[in-house]
Amino acid sequence: MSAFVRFEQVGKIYKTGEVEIQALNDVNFEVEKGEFCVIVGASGAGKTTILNILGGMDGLSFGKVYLDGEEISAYNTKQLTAYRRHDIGFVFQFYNLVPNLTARENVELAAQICKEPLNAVQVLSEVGLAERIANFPAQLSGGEQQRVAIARALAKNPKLLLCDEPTGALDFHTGRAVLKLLQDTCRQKGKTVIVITHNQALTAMADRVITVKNGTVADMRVNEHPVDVETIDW
Amino acid sequence: MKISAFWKSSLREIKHSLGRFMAIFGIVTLGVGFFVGLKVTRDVMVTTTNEYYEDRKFYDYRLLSTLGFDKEAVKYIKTKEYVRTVAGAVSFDIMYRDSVGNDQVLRAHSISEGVNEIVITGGRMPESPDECVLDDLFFGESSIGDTIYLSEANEEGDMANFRFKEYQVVGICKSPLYIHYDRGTSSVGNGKVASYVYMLPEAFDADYYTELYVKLDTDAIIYSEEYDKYKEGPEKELETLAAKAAKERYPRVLEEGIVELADGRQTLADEEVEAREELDKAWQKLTDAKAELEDAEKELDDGRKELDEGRMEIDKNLQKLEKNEKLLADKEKELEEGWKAYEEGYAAWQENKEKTKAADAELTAQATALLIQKAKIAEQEGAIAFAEGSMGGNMDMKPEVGEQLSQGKELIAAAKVQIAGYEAQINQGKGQIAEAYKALDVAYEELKSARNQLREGEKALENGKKEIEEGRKELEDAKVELEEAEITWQEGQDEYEKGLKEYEEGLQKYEDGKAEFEEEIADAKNKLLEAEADLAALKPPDVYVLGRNTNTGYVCFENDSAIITGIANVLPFFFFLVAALVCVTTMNRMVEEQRTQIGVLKALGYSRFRIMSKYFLYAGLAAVAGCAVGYFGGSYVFPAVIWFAYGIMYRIDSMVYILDPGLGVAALAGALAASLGSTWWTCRSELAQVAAQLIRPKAPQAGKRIFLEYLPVIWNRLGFLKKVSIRNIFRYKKRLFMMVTGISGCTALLVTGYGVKDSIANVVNQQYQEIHVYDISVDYKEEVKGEQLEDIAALPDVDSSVLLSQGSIEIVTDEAVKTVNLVIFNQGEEYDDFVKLHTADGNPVEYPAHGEAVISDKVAGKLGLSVGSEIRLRTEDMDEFTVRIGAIHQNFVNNFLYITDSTYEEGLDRAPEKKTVYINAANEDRVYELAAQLMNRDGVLAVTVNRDTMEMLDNMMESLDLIVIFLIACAAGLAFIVLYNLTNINIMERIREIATIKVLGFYKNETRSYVFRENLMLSFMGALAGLVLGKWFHSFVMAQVNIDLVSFDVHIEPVSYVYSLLWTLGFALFVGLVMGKKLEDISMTESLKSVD
Repeated sequence: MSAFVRFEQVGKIYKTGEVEIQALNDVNFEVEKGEFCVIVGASGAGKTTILNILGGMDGLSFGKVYLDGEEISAYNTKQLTAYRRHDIGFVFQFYNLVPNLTARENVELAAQICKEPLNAVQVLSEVGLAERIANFPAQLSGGEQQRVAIARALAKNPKLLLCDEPTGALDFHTGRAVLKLLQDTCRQKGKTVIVITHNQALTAMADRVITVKNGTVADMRVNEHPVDVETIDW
Repeated sequence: MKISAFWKSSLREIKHSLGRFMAIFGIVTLGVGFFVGLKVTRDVMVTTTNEYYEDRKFYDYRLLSTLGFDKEAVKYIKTKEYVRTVAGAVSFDIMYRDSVGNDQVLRAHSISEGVNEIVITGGRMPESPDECVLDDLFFGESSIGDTIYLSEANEEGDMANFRFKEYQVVGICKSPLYIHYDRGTSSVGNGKVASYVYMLPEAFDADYYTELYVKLDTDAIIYSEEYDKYKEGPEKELETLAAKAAKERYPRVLEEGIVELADGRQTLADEEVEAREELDKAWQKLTDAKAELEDAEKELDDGRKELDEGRMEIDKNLQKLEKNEKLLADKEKELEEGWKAYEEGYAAWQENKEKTKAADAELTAQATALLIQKAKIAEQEGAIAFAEGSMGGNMDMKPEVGEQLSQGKELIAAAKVQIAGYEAQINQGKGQIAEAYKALDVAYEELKSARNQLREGEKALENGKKEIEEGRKELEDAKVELEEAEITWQEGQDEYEKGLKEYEEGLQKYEDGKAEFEEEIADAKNKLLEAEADLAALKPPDVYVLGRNTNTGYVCFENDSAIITGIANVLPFFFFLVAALVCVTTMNRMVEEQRTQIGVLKALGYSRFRIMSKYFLYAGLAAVAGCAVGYFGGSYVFPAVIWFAYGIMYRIDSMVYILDPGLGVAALAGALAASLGSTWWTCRSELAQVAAQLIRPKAPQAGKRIFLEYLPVIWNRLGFLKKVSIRNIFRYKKRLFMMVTGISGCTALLVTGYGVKDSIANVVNQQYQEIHVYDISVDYKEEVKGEQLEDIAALPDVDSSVLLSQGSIEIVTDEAVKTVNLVIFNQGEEYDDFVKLHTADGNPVEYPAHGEAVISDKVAGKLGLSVGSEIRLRTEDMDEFTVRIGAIHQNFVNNFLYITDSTYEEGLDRAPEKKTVYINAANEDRVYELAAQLMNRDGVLAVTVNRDTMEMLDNMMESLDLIVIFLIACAAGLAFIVLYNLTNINIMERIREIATIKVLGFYKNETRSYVFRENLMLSFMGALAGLVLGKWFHSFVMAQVNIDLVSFDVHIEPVSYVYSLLWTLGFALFVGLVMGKKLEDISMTESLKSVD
């Protein structure tokens, strides 16, 4: 049985005028369904490019990418949009909530375009924001905003939850609470979660750790004993 | 070095955000262009006209006197220090026959130097008195070489003003007196001056000036206050001077009149004597002819008598002849019968003769037979006697023989007796036959004489026949002779009749001549009497000092240029407002985008001014460039377009472009104020923050609940994305304001443009399809007679016709004198099929009652008249009367005053001359054929087809389309810049949001509608606001438009609102389409970036 997520010899070249930049080179990795995976690497290592490709936001130059048996790398623009719409839940570093919508509406914004969305209010309660559903983002703290963002991603009931530095803009405690929420989501709901971070400390909580260096996978290991996030310090 | 780096940075900034730079540049260009263009257009119009007027030495005052002016008058008016030039001029109206056969009125002016100089636009100036130059608006170069014939229909008095009856066209010209296409009205012909003509003063037969043109010693610009002020003093003095000049002329005219009168009397007397002599001579001739004719008549009568007698005799002879013929025929018949009887007689006689001969022969035979018998008897007797003798006495012996003998003897005796009887009989017969022979002879004689008689009768008959034949021949000859005589007589008769006719004609001619003579003499005497009376009544002349504001062109041009001022007063301000708003939002956005950079610069120790100057440079450069392009472009394009549009109505010089530095400075100041001010405003608040604050991302503007959310009835029904859009609309208030302002301006411009067209375009149709509904108006030379009217009504193409009187009249109030078209209806007649009067709200207006007038709304408004006002009316002969206004009716083209003939008659003690007939054609398509037919009727002066006028006016109105197109183009430009700029800002501001939406998996169209729905909503709101604003703009602009001849039906058609709305939304959709590409180009990776 093939893995849930699979990168096969993926390469990516950015062209800016005459200059060619090799962002990714021969990237190979796999993630199993229901795993909590952390992709870790320094700035500029290429982890965001991996995220972009996996999230259907950017194309690739070589290789193949599979999700749940489907070859994403073969999709056209419209199929990619549908892929993002139905299969991917995205959590941004800066939350990217629509400032003009309440917490509930932000969730609904994503939910309304999906095939089998979850109830927005319920999802918000699950992330602990039952009291704040009617608030606008500006009225919420950073952690709360990130919870709304997670709720927005979850409400879509995606196959894969992609998180780009979810704690990057948060203080330690809030960040840990957010990570806890992600870990619980993975454990309790069996969602596949991929977190991209530069923070090595987070590797301890992952089922699988993929280390990216200089545009390629330097190391991939399965963590037999992932620890609870609350025990991690950084 | 620093400066260079700074510049480099700034220029690079421009290059990077060319769209934004162009937005500022564009709106400033448009704003400045509109402002400068519209503002300068009026100046251009006025300056061009002013230069033209100055160049052509357009008059300041026109002095008129009812008696004209003496040539000396010029001299002393010239001595006044405020007078630059005075020129005496002559002008008369006269009809000429145009190529179609219409009599058109020309206003003939004398060419004068120093004032109102004409420009020859083709050909050359007249050099001899029988040459002229024509109005180049109505005559092309092809007219040069033609001859202008003065019409026969002209009054003698009018003709007397001209030295010749025809003038050679040597050129075409334009005159400063006629910059407008309207050529004015006239008391001659149909009352409308068709065009003008200029001639040398010597072409006129006038030893005085009809008017004096005064040019004041000022260079003040037309329509300026300076000018109005300057002329005040001179105007008063000129009035005095003109009055003085006229007063001096008065006794001279009087004296001249007296001399002329005496001359006239003498001439009349001389001519009368001469004419009478001639008449007498003619009479003598006629009398002689009459006597001759009488003789001839007598001769003819005698001849007739003779002829008749001859004819009678012939008839008589013929009768006689016929009678004889009949007699002859009878005789012939008798003769024939005679012959017949004779033949019968002869035949009978022949028969008798035969019979007698036969009887004779028989008798002879009988006699012979008898003789034989006798002989036999005698033998027997002898035998007996012998026998006896032989026996002689033996008689007793032999008794038997004796008996036998006795018996024999007896038998013989009996036979003897018998024979004797026979013999007697034969003898008798012989006698009878002899007698018969005798009778036959007699009869023969008789027959012979009868035949002779018959032969004679035949001969006589023959003679008679011959005689008759001869008689007939004689008669034929006589008849032929008679016929010949008859012909000769007839010829004589014809000749006589001819002579008689000639005589009668001669007589008629004589009578006519005599009547004419009497009439002429009477006329002449009357005229002399009139002249005498006139002379006696010759009042000191009335004098008029008329300023430029009585010149149609001058006044109309002021009004028309005021339209531009009207537009220029509202719209540029609006554009400027929009331009400022665009600058503010754009710069605001720019500064916000570069917040971090500003923070860094500030942290690095750059001064506030230093940091700000980059943005100042950016905005300033865009503004200055836009201002320059707008200033020059606007100064050129606007006047050019508007001048072109007005060029259809005006005949001035080619346009003078003006670059008004004042406007340039104002525009630059405005543009810089808007751009730099807005930059400063935005930077100031940003720079007030400390560097640390600036470096940190600015918290996104908080979402807010909007009022609508408290109305769940509505809010809950809205789709999710609509909620987002509505919230967004109210979230960015500045943008809302700007969008609504900009778009409403765009719609308002469109509404104004369409509205101007609606208000003007329909005027012509309404005038001729709802008010003056008749098809043709026919002007006669003289009062129309009953038979002329019947003649017209009998034409198959004429549906209906009506007689009335038309002319012009002045309404005199204390403040003003206004000339209007006067229409005089016949009291009690129906005009519904020809003229339909109604009020502005569409209620029908009754035709004026006795003593009342119906007046056009425009004049009523201008003179401040209302129903019930009394007005004084003044005719061209300066007679006045008063009427009451009974009603005010809606009218669009020209101004009218309607009264009835009884009102006129009561007011002026004379009946109006009814010289006009309105006609409705039976078939609209044949209206021109009908017009041509009418033109050929006797006494017809001119035929006006309303459709012609309509088409002419329609053509003129077409120039307005250009203005509308121009406004649409401006609106499009405005809409595009506003929409592009705002959409651009909108996208830039929300780039993360849009990228996020895309990451969330929104399809292309969903993303597009997520962003543009707001734009469309705002555009729609703006457009709705614009409809209201446009209505207001329109009424404002129309209120500034004041044209004398045409009053506008100020309204906007519903469809114009629809068009304006559609155009606006069309622009919005177009911008959306263009910007859609930009949305697609947004990279989703933007969503991953930090807020900067």
